[in-house]
Amino acid sequence: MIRAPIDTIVSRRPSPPARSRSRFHMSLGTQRALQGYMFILPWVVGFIMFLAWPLIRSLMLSFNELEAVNINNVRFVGLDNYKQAFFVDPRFFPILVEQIKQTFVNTPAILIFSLFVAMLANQRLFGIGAFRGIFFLPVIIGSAEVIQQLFSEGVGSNTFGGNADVASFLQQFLGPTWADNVILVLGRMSLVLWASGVQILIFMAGLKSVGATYYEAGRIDGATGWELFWKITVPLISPFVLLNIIYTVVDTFTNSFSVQGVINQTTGQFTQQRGMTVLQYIQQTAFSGQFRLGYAAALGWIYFLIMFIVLMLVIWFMRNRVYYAGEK
Amino acid sequence: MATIARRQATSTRYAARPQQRLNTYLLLKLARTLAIRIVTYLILADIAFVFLFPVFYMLATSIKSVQDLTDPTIQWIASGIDWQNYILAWQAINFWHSFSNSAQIAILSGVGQVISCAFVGYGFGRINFPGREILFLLVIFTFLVPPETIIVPLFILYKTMPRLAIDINLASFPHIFAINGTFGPGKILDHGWIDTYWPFIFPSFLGEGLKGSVFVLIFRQFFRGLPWELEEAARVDGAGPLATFFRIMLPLAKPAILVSFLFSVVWHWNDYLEPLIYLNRSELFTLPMRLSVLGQTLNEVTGGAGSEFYNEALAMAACVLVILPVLILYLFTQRFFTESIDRTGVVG
Repeated sequence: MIRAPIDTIVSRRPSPPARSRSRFHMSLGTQRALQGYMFILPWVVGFIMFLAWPLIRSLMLSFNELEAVNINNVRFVGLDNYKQAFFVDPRFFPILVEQIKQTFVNTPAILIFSLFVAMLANQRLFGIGAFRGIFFLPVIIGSAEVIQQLFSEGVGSNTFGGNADVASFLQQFLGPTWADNVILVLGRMSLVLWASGVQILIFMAGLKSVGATYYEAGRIDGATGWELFWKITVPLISPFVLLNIIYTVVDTFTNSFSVQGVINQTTGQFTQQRGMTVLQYIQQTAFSGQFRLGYAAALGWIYFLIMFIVLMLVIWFMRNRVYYAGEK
Repeated sequence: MATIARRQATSTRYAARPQQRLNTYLLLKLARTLAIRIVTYLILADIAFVFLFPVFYMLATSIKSVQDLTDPTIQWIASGIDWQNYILAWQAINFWHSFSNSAQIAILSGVGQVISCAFVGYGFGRINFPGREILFLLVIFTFLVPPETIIVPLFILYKTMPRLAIDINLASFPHIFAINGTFGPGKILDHGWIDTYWPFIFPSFLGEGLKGSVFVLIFRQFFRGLPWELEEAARVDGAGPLATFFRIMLPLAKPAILVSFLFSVVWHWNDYLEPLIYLNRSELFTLPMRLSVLGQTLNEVTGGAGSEFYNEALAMAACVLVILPVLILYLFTQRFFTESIDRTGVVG
């Protein structure tokens, strides 16, 4: 069989239709870019409609106050709403301070606890899957209303430190001031545990990403378990620590549930009651009767800015302490 | 732990020690490993108890009769199961009706978020376009904005939203499960989208809604982890971008779809703030919202004698009923939740 020369075979192929060089012609890069914009278009529309525009509108509204219960009838009041929040309103500032305090107390507690649980749950043990399932349970059933019912029954304070014996014991040995703080922290523990489901998962993924070779090398060099933890585990999971801090701060700030520990001074009994969150306060200001939408918007913005500052501080504080292995 | 013990044991064997000493050494190692195991299990069980305590408490209290509640000798185990609490709670929270409300919101929003966030996540994860990084920063920014800040303008927005051309009030969908369905179709909406389920469902289809940015992030990370040759092959075969997405990438994204859908459903189910603001009529209430009006509805159910029947046990029975659907869902899909990060590669 005589083979045709290569070039004749090639030339026999139908040649692709010549691209018309009209003005609609686009380079491949432009085409891809347009495809990209097409894919994110739904999000862009949603972002503008349900986030960017409401955010701007909320800012504008915060400098105004409604004249009547009519959205279009507003009066410019300048910074009055902001001034009122800090200097006139007796209720807002304490709630805000309480929420910030909770964030600063809870975040380290949640981080330490979830890292501890993640290290335990990451081992290859019989039945560990069931434990993982239990640790994630609060995310599933953690409906704010259910938790509120539970805490109004005193479940949270019963779990830790609510025991009158423990309370009186602590008061005897630490003195009332210290004991009260310890009891409050203990009482908060059950809430801390209940708010750490996602963080445990993130830490578990982080711990899995640390290669076994590091530990082996460390052990050969004679490092103890304690040293391995601080010199290998902690630096390698530091990006996950940062991620968890950000998640926890945002979660605490956007949580619609707050529990305040109260110690009965006469009996020393620790109880918890539902505290007012900033969220509920804003909701009350805006929707229940008063319809002070401008003031509510100002409160919302104050809250947002404070959360943003806290987050920026955390990131600034962590910026040199996070170790990114490789190209991450 | 065990492998290291074995390795060290091997090394000692090669050091030709007497058999006797080797055995003692191994035995000590074994005892140590065993002790560590036991302590680990004890700690795990202790933490698990703290997590399960509220659930146990709920279950144990919900079956107590009035006598059991006041009896100081009865702490955990009730003298008998008093189903009366459940029957009353079932009626007071109008279970099937509220369940159907919750399910409508959770499932429709979940479907919306999965579709839109997969689409958007693919765009962010696989296609290069100018401004991508900045736009993605905005996605993250969305996660940071507390709902408090934008709740007022959103309320105004939904209130002024025009009734959709297709006159669907999702709340007036026939309630297939409803026993006490108190209203039918044809309700006139004079408050725009207030008292409809559109404020939850519509933003979901645009990649927003409850924690929508998290799902965009999940899909972006997932699609990034897939091999790049897939799209090249699809393009060579002549598939356009949409065909590539729907016929090649989406079927591969099953793990991410499942995880996102489950999280979306559960978060919507537990959501409390938004339903509270956008829904005013009690027949539209979701299951968790029913708990806050329990005393009041109990009054209606019992014909004004609510305070007689309202007690701790009844409240706990209502709580159990509210969390039961998600609890059952979790029983069957637990692995997808706890392995969500491994399956989707969100972090790392």
